[in-house]
Amino acid sequence: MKSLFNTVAAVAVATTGATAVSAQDLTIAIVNNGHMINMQKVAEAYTAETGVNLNWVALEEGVLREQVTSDTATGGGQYDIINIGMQEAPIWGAAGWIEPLNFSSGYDVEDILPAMRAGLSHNGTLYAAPFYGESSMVMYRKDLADAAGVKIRNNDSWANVKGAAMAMHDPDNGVYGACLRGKPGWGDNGAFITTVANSFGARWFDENMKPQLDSAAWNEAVSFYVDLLANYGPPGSEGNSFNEILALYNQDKCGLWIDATIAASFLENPNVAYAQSPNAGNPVGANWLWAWAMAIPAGSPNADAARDFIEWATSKDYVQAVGNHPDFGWGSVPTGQRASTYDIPEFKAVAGFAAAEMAAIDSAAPEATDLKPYVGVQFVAIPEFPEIGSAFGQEMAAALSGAKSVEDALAAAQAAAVSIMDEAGY
Amino acid sequence: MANRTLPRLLQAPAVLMLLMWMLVPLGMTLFFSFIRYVLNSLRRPEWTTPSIENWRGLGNYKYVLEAKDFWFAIQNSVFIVVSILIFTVVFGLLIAVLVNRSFPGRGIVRVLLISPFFVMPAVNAVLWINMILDPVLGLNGLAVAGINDLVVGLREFPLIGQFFSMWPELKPISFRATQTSAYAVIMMVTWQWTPFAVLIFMTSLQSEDESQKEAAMLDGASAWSQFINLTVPHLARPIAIVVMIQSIFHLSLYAEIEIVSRGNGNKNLPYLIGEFTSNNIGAASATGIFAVILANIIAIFLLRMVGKSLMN
Amino acid sequence: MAAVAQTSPLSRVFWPALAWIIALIFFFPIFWLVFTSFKTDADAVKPEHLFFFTPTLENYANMTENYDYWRFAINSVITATFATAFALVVGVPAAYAMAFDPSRHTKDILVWMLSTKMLPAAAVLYPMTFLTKNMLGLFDTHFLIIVVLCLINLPIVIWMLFTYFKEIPKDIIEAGKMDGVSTWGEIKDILIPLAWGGIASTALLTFIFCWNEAYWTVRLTTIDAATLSKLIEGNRAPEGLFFGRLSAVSTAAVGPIVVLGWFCQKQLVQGLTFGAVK
Repeated sequence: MKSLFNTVAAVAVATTGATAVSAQDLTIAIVNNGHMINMQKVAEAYTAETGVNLNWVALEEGVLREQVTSDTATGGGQYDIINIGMQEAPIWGAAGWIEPLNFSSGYDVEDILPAMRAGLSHNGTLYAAPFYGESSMVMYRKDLADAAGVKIRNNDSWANVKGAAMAMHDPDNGVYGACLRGKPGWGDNGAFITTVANSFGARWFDENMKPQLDSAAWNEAVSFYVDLLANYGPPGSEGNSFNEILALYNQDKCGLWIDATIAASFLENPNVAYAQSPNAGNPVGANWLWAWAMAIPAGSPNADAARDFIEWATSKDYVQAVGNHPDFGWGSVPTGQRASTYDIPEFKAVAGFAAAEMAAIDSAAPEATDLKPYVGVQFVAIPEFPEIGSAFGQEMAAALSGAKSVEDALAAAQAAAVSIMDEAGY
Repeated sequence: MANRTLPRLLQAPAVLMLLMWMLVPLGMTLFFSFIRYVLNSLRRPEWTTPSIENWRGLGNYKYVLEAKDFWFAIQNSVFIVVSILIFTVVFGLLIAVLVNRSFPGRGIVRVLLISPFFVMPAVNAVLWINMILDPVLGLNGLAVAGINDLVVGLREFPLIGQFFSMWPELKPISFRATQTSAYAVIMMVTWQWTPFAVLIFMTSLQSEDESQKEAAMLDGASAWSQFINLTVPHLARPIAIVVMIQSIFHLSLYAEIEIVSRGNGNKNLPYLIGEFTSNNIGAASATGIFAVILANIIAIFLLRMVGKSLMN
Repeated sequence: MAAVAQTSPLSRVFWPALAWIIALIFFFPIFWLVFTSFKTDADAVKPEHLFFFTPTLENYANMTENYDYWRFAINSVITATFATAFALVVGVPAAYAMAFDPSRHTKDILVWMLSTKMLPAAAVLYPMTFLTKNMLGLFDTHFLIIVVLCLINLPIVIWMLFTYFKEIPKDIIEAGKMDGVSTWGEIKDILIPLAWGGIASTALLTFIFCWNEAYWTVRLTTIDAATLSKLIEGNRAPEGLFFGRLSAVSTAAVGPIVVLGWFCQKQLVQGLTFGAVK
């Protein structure tokens, strides 16, 4: 029996395709992070130059994923360009939901950081172009660390990092030793906890894709995380993710913060120092890798115009355009996507974090290895992962607030993972 | 009397529209609930097309029944709805009685009181959880920190310092934790819907028999006994209506649950459906059918309560 | 008269004061939202700027310049207005027939209608997307949003109207029939003037529910028919701390409906009976 969806989708594509000849409108779905907000302004020049009218549809991350998924799975057509991440790019590419990106010769693909290219490709074909990228690293208050007589080194041991958090922890004066993600969600606490677990030698799945959350390494890692954050973190950590911690950090309430490298460009206190992510023996996967990338859904009637826009928005020229824009400047350029950005002297002059960010991204390892047979550092690039990760995130938040023991939370997450994977036919 | 054509004709558009609205999507949901249907699968690509060949019988239902949090979602759903109902009815009654008498500025007081009802649910949730209830940067955290500072300051004083040094240091409550997230949702929805109860009770109070009240007062009945013996019975029907309308709305809470804790410690069936929808449409559809069944059980129960006096 | 004379001075001050305090507590979150909307994003999370800050209109300027607030607002007005009107056009005749010419199934029909409101929207998201986009080609049109908003609210509309119409003595309608007035004439000349208060408050409540709907208006639109609830969704970002901006957008989305509610407060208080008044 022929698929109902595909037939109708094909008809829909055919009819809309016929009318698309004169269309110079692109509809772009984005999450409204700072860099995307700036892009809406910078792209006014693009419209002026090319005559292509850009319609921005800004959505909350979860709603964006939901709407783009429902559109794409029913044949697409609503969006010409979509903002997706590294979890989606390879599997959506494999499913044929997004178009392979074949750029024109003027576009320097080789300049895109290798880790980014690897993470956004499927079988060697690039499916999404990074608009900006990030890894994770330690950001800490140099003044507090010095006053407490502690040091955080690159790739330090978790024991030392905990010691530093303990030394800087001073809740009576409103300073908490460590601010870390605790808000449930596979992209929130799930991302951070997975990097901790990786560094303890844990993995999500074994070579037969059997969930491994009941392993000793996971227990050790999560126990460490809960102990660190519950004792030396701010109250309400189970609700904190990037935004909440950024607010706390800029209120001088955090001793150290381990999060996306992009955070460095938002920090206000000048007494900041950076260090590569700590580990507990296994440095591979101790820092995550993520990109907010742009892709073209299969079925977009304006695929060519869409590709042209992506070429522009992810190019070296775009970085220059932001750097030279009167409203923004070199402190606001998107980072983590291209090697050439880190050679720009104006950028290096204002971005004290550039070297640390570049090192973190370079050391991130999304590829499958002997230890972990799947693509992805802080996630697993399979379609079932968001469901597993969201159950996992809830259980971890329960462990953090003490509603459950670490053992019980991991056992519940393991049970959920096993049932979801069985259901999915693994 | 014999001719029923006209009334049927007048009702037809409404009935047919609602029938379509219910049957078409529900029919598709029912179909999906009996087949294997996922949006994307690297292992079993054949499951990504909604085809009869992927027939699974009751498999999705069995999976959902055994899935994490299914029973918790039902139980928790009832807990939050019933709690909200109790709070809104009690607060609504007291406030309606309070503003039913005339006093200076009553118009403004009413306007201020009913305002929360007009706020969008997503705005309500973001406002409460971030700006008010956040344990560090929200008013909750700032107030607790302020009290602690004050107590520390007061410890310096002679005599009373002794007293305040015995005070414990207050810890702000985090409302996004597993243990508390349901309370946060109950709190914000109660805030939003108490005005609805107030509006309906106020309307009913205006029709209350004043002469009966005056007679009671002359007999020396206290305000409290008047309230219990006259006002509350008079409001029995409006209470039933408030309960019914609110149940319909609160069974499908979504934005509040998502924004407060992403389902941590607080879930209902619509939220569970949303979690399945990230890939497993078969399971999401089966959960949807369960939700429809649950909703109808509650509907029958509620409407019995209200419906009896409806037709006379 | 005696009752008034008995109130003690204490209760004359105490109860109104209590009412005022409760009203201010209830209103405080909304005040706080508006207050925050005049802070910059940076100031909005700083306790030292909790009460004292340099007010700015930056957030509002940004909203109208970069986000096309007016397009979303106009869409909200259009969809809510037409959905309300459409619901009344369909609802009034139905409620009229149910109230004045009931059959033994009328109660069951009413109950069934309300039960359709309990259908969990999330369960039918995919079917709805597929139907409206691929089969009907109505995705992201005002027409679709109007129909959906109308259908969502129709049960409540019919229920409310039915309960008002039941209060109207049947004799008046019967008298009209005797005089040979047509059904349309009965509805237009007798029923609507008599039940005007009820119809108006039904319309108001429906309008409010339409305005605040945030599941279908977000998920069945892309850009052309997107309403203010979609604008709000776009201002919650995973990596961006924009409380000032979000407050301004929220204020501008909630403001019109709150002000409308204020103006029609009397109407709502008189009309929201749901048949509760005997």
